[in-house]
Amino acid sequence: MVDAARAQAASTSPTTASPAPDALDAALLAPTLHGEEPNLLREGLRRERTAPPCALVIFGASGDLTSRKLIPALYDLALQRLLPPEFAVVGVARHAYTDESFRNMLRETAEEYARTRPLRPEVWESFAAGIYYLRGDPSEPETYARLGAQLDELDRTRGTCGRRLFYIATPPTVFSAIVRELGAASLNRSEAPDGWVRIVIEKPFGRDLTTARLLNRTVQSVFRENQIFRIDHYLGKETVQNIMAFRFSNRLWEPLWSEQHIDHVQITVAESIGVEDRGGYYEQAGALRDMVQNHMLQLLTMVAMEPPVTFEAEAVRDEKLKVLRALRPISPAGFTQQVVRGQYGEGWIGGQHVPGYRQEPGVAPNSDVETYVALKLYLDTWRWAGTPFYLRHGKRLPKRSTEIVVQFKPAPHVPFGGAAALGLDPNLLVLRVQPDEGITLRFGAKVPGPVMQLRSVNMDFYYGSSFLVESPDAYERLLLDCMLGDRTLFMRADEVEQAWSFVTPIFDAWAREQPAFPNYAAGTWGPAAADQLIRRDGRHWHRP
Amino acid sequence: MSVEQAPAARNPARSTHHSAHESAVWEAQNVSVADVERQLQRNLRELSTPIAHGTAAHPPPRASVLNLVVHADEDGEADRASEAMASLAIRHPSRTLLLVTAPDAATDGLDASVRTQRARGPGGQTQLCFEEVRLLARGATALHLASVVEPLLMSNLPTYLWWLGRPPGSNDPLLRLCDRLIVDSAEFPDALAGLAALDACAAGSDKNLELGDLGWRRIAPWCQLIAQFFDPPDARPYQHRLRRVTVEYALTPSGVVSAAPLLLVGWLAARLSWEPETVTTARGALDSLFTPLQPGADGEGITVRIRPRPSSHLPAGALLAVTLAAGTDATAASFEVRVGDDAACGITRAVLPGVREIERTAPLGKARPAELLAHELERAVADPIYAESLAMVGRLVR
Repeated sequence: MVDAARAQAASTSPTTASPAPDALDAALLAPTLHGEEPNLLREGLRRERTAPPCALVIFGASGDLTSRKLIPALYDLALQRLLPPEFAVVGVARHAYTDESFRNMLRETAEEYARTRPLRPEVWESFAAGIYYLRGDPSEPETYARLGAQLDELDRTRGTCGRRLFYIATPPTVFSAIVRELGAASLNRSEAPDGWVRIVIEKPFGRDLTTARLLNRTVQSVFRENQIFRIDHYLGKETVQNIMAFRFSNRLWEPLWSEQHIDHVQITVAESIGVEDRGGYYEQAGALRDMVQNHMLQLLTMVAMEPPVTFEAEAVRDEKLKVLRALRPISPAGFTQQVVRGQYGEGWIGGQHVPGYRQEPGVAPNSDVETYVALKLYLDTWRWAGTPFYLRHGKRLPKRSTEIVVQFKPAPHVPFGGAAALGLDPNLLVLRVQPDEGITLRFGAKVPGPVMQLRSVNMDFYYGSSFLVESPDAYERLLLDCMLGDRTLFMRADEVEQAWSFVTPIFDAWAREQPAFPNYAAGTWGPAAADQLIRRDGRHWHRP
Repeated sequence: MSVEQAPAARNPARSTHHSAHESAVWEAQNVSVADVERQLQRNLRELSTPIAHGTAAHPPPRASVLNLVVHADEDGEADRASEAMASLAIRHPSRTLLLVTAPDAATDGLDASVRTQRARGPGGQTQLCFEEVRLLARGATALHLASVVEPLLMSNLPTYLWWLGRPPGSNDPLLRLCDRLIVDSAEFPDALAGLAALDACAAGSDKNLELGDLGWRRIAPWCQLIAQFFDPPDARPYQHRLRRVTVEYALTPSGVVSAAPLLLVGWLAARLSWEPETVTTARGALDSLFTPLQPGADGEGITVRIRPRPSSHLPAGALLAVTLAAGTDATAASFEVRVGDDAACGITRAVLPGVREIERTAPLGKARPAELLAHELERAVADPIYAESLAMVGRLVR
């Protein structure tokens, strides 16, 4: 299996084997490298990472993603002067909008969802003047002929330079058709000397290994891997990038960061909300697909990866892939010891009574879909041999919290003897991702007084207390990355497939057995079996 | 952001105005630096005790990033700085020393006030804590500020010195204590001389004194918008064919040219390797002829004109419009940024003949000193582009 994945990676990922001609656009220097001559005035301003002139084409432009995330993020970029005047958006969908009514609809939602509100009318008007709407059926070739003509026109009138960013924000069902038609209409490459074409794909990237592979093949039959941006908005979060900054910009942690000193690692993504109005979607997904396969395995890779040589796309993604490859497959024998699923029943959260999952709108009354997963994983590497990683994620848990707990082994010898060390717990490093992003370090200290009495104390650090700037929205960061051609925070085909190949056997095992759901009450920390999973090892879940 | 009710100060010398964010205030006259140090420690200890009805079982975190020292020559300046600081403090938890000098006072000595504040972050759980020390140095004490400041700095943190008003002398002892000197060139009474003095200050320092300038931060959006003109590959050649640059700014009361247009021209000239040939100034206007030295330039001279214009809705000295004209006759292109009807927005317009014309509106950024200072403090390293632009302005004077 591993070999197959490797062969797959080599055959489908040209950039890892030999640098493609435009591999240079992975560098952040896009604005200076694209032209034949540099923009001398940009020197020193480069750190602002301004997007180059280009056109963004959004398929599924009438959907929520466009109006709630993409357009507000773009507006916030415009507000920071990070979009060039030439920038244009073309929304494509079946809905009967005109340019004018499309802009009006977007303005209404932007009023609500932009990070910086209220909107500044002049800035919005100027930004919106570059937004166009193309009504068309994404499965009709004729749509693409018109799209091509419109893009050529924009190159001429606005100066978008033959640079196109296709953003697929449609349901996955139409996805392959769009990719095929883009290829058929030759929109998958740019004729312009400074042009480029890139495609952004939203999750889900398939629903198991087979479908993920199929999807990758479809896209890769039309676009090269270095044109493809698989977006996992989790990776765009400042907090997630901070994990890498914390690990790799400090000398302090890395010598301790291995099985030698670390007892185990816990990754918790707890949500207090239920499935809200997404019952229909969740019935098709479940906790493992919705959160664990993508976001949580990505968090795992960041905690466990080896230091990359550079922070460039392939260097980082190679290291992340190695972690996924090192995941020890869960054997049928150890299955119940390593995997727990759960589904919430009715209960109380924050003093309010909430219904069980099966009573949520859009959910089957006898649904077997899991809303909770706990996993115990091992990485078969020199660094992590024997160190368990405990992952848990659930909906309707008592509070919202995402954190990574690194528990160190106890001091090999405590010289204070007997009762002195009774109040001492092992050293702990907590990386809080949300809310209140920060780091907590737990260590032992002497209780003041005439006797040697030890206690654990917590030292807290909050990112918000050290830096003034407001964090950009994940989509602001990721859209800018796409326009600049930086793939570091996007998932590569082999990463996606490797994650699926680890997770898919769990689905297979679950399919063979009828779960006794619901097995935890809303407002509790998940099923009893999840506690047993970790207690069996003489450990316990840390309370976030 | 809400503020915890403070432990009462142990010996408040006299009553003061309490802003919404204050928690512990102590004021005293004729104190020693040691008194101030003791009071800072005392305040911190009091804030470290658990909050009466809160859940925090440990002291509010002090994630300190830097020392900020503010130097003011007069009370008016100090009050303005204090106001800026008040909005900044909530966002930036560092120790701030606000120095007010009164060298002409009848007596020597030091008056001090210490405020230690605790606030909750937006998330609700985050507890922050920060200190502001305001010192009035009278008489001879005002001439030996370094001896006052040094004991009060937190160790192992960079020290930024925000110097209000005209720039410091290049051998001011405070400069030796600090890693970065921050000024606001818009406050210089004579910008041309002030900028040249600042350049000399950096050149003359024995260690690498970094420079920050709120005036530079104010024009940064202009630079950003101008740079964007030349991002499209078909517009790039025009940066080598510029002929005329016109910069308009809001007339100053004194009638001398302000810092903003000078820095903008300095930036253009430094980036595009223009060599100043002639400079003439009169009544707030400046005319200069430059020769382009960058490879690829066509060798034709560039005429730069800085002109004052009365403006009712912008502060004196602020930029009003920048126009760049390139090429000749049939292929003449022009690039313009000008302040819109809404003074907070700029309208940019690029005309490439026979190719396209593009106009758009973009925000011109924040202008309040506190916001500009916040941006300046965020930067871990000073902007080398500023130093080069400043040096270019220095050359216009010589």
